[in-house]
Amino acid sequence: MVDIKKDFTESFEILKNHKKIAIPIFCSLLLPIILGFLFFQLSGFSPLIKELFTTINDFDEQKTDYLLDLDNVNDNEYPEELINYIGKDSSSSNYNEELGEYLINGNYDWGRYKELLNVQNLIMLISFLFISIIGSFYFSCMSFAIIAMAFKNQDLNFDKVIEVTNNFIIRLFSMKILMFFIFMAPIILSIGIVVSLFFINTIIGVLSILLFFILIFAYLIYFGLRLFFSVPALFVDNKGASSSIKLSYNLTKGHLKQVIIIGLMIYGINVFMNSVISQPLYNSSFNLLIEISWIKNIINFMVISIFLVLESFVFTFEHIFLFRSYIDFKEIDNIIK
Amino acid sequence: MEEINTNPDMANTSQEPSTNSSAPGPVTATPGDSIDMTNPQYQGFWIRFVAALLDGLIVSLPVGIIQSGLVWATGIDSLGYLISLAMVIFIIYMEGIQGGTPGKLIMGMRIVNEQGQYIGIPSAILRYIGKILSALILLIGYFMIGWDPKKQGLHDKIAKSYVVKK
Repeated sequence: MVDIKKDFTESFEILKNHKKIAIPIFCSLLLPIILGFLFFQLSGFSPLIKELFTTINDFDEQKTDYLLDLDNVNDNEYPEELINYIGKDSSSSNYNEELGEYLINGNYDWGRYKELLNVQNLIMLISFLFISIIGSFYFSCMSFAIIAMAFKNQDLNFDKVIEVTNNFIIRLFSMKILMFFIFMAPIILSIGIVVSLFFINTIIGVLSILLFFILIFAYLIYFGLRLFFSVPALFVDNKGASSSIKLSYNLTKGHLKQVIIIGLMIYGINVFMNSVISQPLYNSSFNLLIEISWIKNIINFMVISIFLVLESFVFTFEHIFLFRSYIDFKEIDNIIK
Repeated sequence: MEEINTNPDMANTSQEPSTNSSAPGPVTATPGDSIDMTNPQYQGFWIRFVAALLDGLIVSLPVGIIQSGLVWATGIDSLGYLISLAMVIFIIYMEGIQGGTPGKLIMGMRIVNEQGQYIGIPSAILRYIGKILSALILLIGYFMIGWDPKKQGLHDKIAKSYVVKK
């Protein structure tokens, strides 16, 4: 049985002793944020977005001033205003309609956005997205490589890390493509079958949606568990794309319960990261984009820096834990065999 | 194939707290803080529920007020996130190093490992993540405390921790 506590504590110690393992993930998180800000600044969207949110804030302030004024409590429309404001995220609230009217009455010019939707900005957006995806993928690969190197007690110098990463990048990419086909092929096939069944008979079509939904769900969970260790197998055992998938498939045979436990732990780390770190990080990044006050922006920048570092460490820890569990899992499998 | 170090850089750190209470574990409490585990009094669901209520009153409520007040006064949402993060760090520190959250300490409970030592930071983080899982499965992870012989919730089982009377 995999010892979760032992793997967790050891992963913690590895990260504590090799803090630079977190650098690739830090870069992979930083790159999209920098490119996002660059795009908004260079494209000319930034001042427009700041202006829009300043107008929305003014509208909000007027609403809250009205609602907080005790003289207005007895107004006939007060309860409706209050409910609309509290439930402003709900589709049944009039808040968005009123905001739309406020913007129109204030002669807010939406045409300026259309002017910015030009070829130059589109090319910049596509280029930045491309750089962001390629860069994040490369840094993810570097993160896996550096973790595997730490487990093998190799020297983590820059040149060596780059060399090992370059050695793995094509294999990781091939594995991702293979995984995509493994997971997507049955879904595409099922959609095809369901659509053709709809042409034959509507009731059969509806029933087949239900049936295929359950089947695909079961398929995704089963293969998700069986191929759970594909990435660590590739990096730790230096395997090829298809052989690491095969190795994970063979290794997890008959041990799905333990894979579920490890998977749940990783899911728990993800939930922890999303709720405590990721959400604040992305909200603060958004605030930095729309905020005009430089004092607030300095504070937002500091908060982003703190959460970015934290997210890098937690994300890296998640990878280390996956790799450590894999090594532990393999040892147990060898003992059983 | 290269040799995999299954225990990298762990030569001077114990993964499992030693039976010898003076052995240094990873960020664990001092030996003086250990609880005698020869006949432990495991703490059940309801008393821990009361401790959680006390935590809500002593920690969550003031933190919530400070958080809302700060965000309202400054208009900077980010400060609210920092306060939430500080609270998570505080809970992990209290459980790992001080042996329990304020509510548990007031109720005379301590969170310990098999050897009766405070669990340390890594296990406290693991326990915190375990609590998320306990909550995610419709709180069953918490209700387990009620019927488990050693009064362990799912998070206690994951972190191999026990809540005992001091």
